[in-house]
Amino acid sequence: MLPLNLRALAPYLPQLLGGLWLTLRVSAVAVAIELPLGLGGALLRTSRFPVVRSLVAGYVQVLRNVPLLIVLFALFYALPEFGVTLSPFTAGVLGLSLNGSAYTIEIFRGGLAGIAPGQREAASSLGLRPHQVFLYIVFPQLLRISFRRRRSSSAWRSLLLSLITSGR
Amino acid sequence: MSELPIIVQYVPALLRGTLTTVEVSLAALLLATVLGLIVGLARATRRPIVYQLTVAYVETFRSIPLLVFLFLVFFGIPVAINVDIPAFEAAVIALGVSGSATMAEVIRGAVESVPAGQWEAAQSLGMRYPAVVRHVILPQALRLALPPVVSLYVAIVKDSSLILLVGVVELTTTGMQVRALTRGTGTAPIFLILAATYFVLCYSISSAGQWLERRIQI
Repeated sequence: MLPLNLRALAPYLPQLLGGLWLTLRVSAVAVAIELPLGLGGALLRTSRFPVVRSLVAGYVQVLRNVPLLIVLFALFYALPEFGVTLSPFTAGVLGLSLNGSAYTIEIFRGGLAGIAPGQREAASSLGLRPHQVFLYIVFPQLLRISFRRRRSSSAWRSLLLSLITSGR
Repeated sequence: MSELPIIVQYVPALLRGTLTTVEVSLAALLLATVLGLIVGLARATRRPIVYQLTVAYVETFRSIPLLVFLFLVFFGIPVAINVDIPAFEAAVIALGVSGSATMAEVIRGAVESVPAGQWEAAQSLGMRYPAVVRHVILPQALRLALPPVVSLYVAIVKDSSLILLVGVVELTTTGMQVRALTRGTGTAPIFLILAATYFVLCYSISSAGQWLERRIQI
């Protein structure tokens, strides 16, 4: 039989729960930053200016092809050399949201492409202003299309933060 | 970047680390592909017990964070069943098995997207189940599966950076060692080098995938 003795862990329960709470907090903050970043990035991807489009595309490519761990280490260990020292919590949240935003941008971009152009045309021909078109027509559909795809949660990626955080 | 000359002497070590990263990733993605194909195809058959077993497999391994699973394989299993699992093998098992759960889902999705008429047509021609899968379904399903499989391979290469925690001397480990040896002065350049190397590795995989996708388009 497996030598599993859960009772040995009992004294550490408060610490484990504290760690769980920290995990939830980090993930929540990261998601809260990542979603607007992703939406903004996706809108910039459809910008009129080619430079802006390629800058965002480059940002996405770099963050999608570099391990989260390296991003975290760079934020936590390399930034202080340039005079910016981040707390483990800030570095962690920032790393997670940067990493996540690359994926969110792509998902929102796919969502934007999935909305038929006729929708926008119909809305503006009804006299809606551009911001109203976005707010009432594009945005609600975008959310519906995109959230089906945002599955892999930041919650368990946040576990990586244990590498730079103390006490998890 | 006055630190660069110092770092140059560590280039051979970094290259060895890169090689180890490539080795671990290759072994892991082979394991993920084989296991994932078996589980995914088993799940697509929809036979009751087999189906539930594969659901359990996929959901379990997709919900356990890789880091926890890696520790489980490296620290947990050796204690539980008294075998010694070397770090390299533990890393391959952890990366491969957790990747196989994603792979199984990709394969199942691809097999299910092949229109039912294809199954029926093949069976009405008198083909048996294995023949239908091999000659009719898989060739079409693999085309559909290619893009997600490529992102899985990229994810495996990136996740292989985690195995520094069980002491496999791969790229990230080597980088951290160089950082320690240069007493921190090389921190910024070394992370730039690490990021660039991973970028080159992953970007070549996704480019190869895109090339293949264009080649096999129907």
